[in-house]
Amino acid sequence: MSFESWGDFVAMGGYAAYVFGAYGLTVAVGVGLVVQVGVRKRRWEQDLRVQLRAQEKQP
Amino acid sequence: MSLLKRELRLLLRSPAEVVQSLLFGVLVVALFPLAITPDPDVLRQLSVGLIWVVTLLTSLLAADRSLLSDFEDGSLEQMVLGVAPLWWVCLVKSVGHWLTALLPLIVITPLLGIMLAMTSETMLWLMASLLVGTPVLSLFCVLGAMMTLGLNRGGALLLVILMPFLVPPLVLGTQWAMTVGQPFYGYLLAGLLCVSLMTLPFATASVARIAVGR
Amino acid sequence: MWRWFHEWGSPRYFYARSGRLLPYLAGLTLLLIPTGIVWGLLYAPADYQQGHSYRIMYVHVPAAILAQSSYAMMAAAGMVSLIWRLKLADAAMQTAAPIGAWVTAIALITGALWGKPMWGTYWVWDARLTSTLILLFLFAGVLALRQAAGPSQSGGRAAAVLAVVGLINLPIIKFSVDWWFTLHQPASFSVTEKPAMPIEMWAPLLAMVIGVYGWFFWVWLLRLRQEIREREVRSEWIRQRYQNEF
Repeated sequence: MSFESWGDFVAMGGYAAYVFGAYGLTVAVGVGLVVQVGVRKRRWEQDLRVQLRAQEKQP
Repeated sequence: MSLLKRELRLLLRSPAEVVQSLLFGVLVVALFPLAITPDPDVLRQLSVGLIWVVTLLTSLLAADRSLLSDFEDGSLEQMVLGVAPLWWVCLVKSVGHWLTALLPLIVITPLLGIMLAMTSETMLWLMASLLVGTPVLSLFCVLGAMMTLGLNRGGALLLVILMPFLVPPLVLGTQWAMTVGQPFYGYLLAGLLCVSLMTLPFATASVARIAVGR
Repeated sequence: MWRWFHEWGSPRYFYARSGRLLPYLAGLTLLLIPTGIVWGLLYAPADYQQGHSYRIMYVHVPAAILAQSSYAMMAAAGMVSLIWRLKLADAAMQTAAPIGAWVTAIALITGALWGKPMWGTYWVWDARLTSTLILLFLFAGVLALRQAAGPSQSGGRAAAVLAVVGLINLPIIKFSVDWWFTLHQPASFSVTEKPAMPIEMWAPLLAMVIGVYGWFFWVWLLRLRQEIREREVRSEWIRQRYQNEF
């Protein structure tokens, strides 16, 4: 690797806040958007199931 | 042609709109020395950009007005279904907007320039840039107004929608004036005007059809 | 060829077939992005001038590239929805917009974070950052218009017109900003001509760019499928899928 030690890696030449901040934000948004769809889908499915079940009960 | 006359008559019947644009321009320009500095050297540097921005804001303010009355009295529907080509109607609307909101401002630009310590050379090119650039503003503003017709908070929405499109005429216009007439920017601005004239009325027409269907 | 087009234009057909793509897109993303990140953070050599801060490039540049192309893709979907009146295209445009806006915001923020170590300030009115900011406004406009105009068909068409006008204007805006910048560029600020990057430096970048595109299509497809579900909820074929659970 391009660093002398893990300590050096974490320090990132003094720019740790910027570099890890940038990467962290990007990954957070990347994961967040995927998760968001999943959550929305599940919620919608639950609502639909409730609705369909209610319909079944009324002949 | 009769459509144009009718539009003009309608607009000129209420000089209040013209006065409103003028007042807005003068008042905002007057605010800046008060807010920043009376130092003429500083004001001179800011003057071109300031006047252009004020013109832009005036254009946006006037945009809603030009179409609102049509929407309310149903004549927009008539225009969409009418005999005259819809793109021509939209062009006429843009001309009307320009004549009532922007041309008055251009006329008093010398006054504004004096307030901001502008040199007369720059003033000349500023007026040229406004003459060529503000029609582009009108064309875009009418397009935007048509898109936001009847929508909630149309005013704020109009600014959000239009801002990116107003950047090229703003930048080219101010560049042309600040370089005291360098032809490069003049050609570009004129080119932009031509392209806008040829395309935007049609875009506005298609949005008008959508708006009426709403 | 047209039959193929109209087949895929039907939400039901699209929904049934597109699901197969999801595992591949997910796999591509989850393979390339962690690889690219580790590679770029850990293994790529330090830059001669910027040291380690240049590593932000591995997230900023893919985001910036994707920001522009996602706008183009969104506008293209809008164009298709206008010309052929395909609801699916309208749904595609609507789902692409928020993703594109987020990517543009990321491009801006990572650009600012890269700028602070390089130039000392978070924000510089240089040509690229300013163009990206305007791109964000373009996305904001489309999103705002869609929101205000409502979920109706006319709302979608108005937003589509705006997106297409935006796409046509995009080169004009970029040129204007470039010219504006070259005129006002302060003397101390020179756009550094980057020397050719060694392969150890741009290989992880390539991985990230491809990975980020994979991610985009993955998220877009997920969102589009959900949008189809929600729009078609009244029709039989969607309800059947859930009805069969009873």
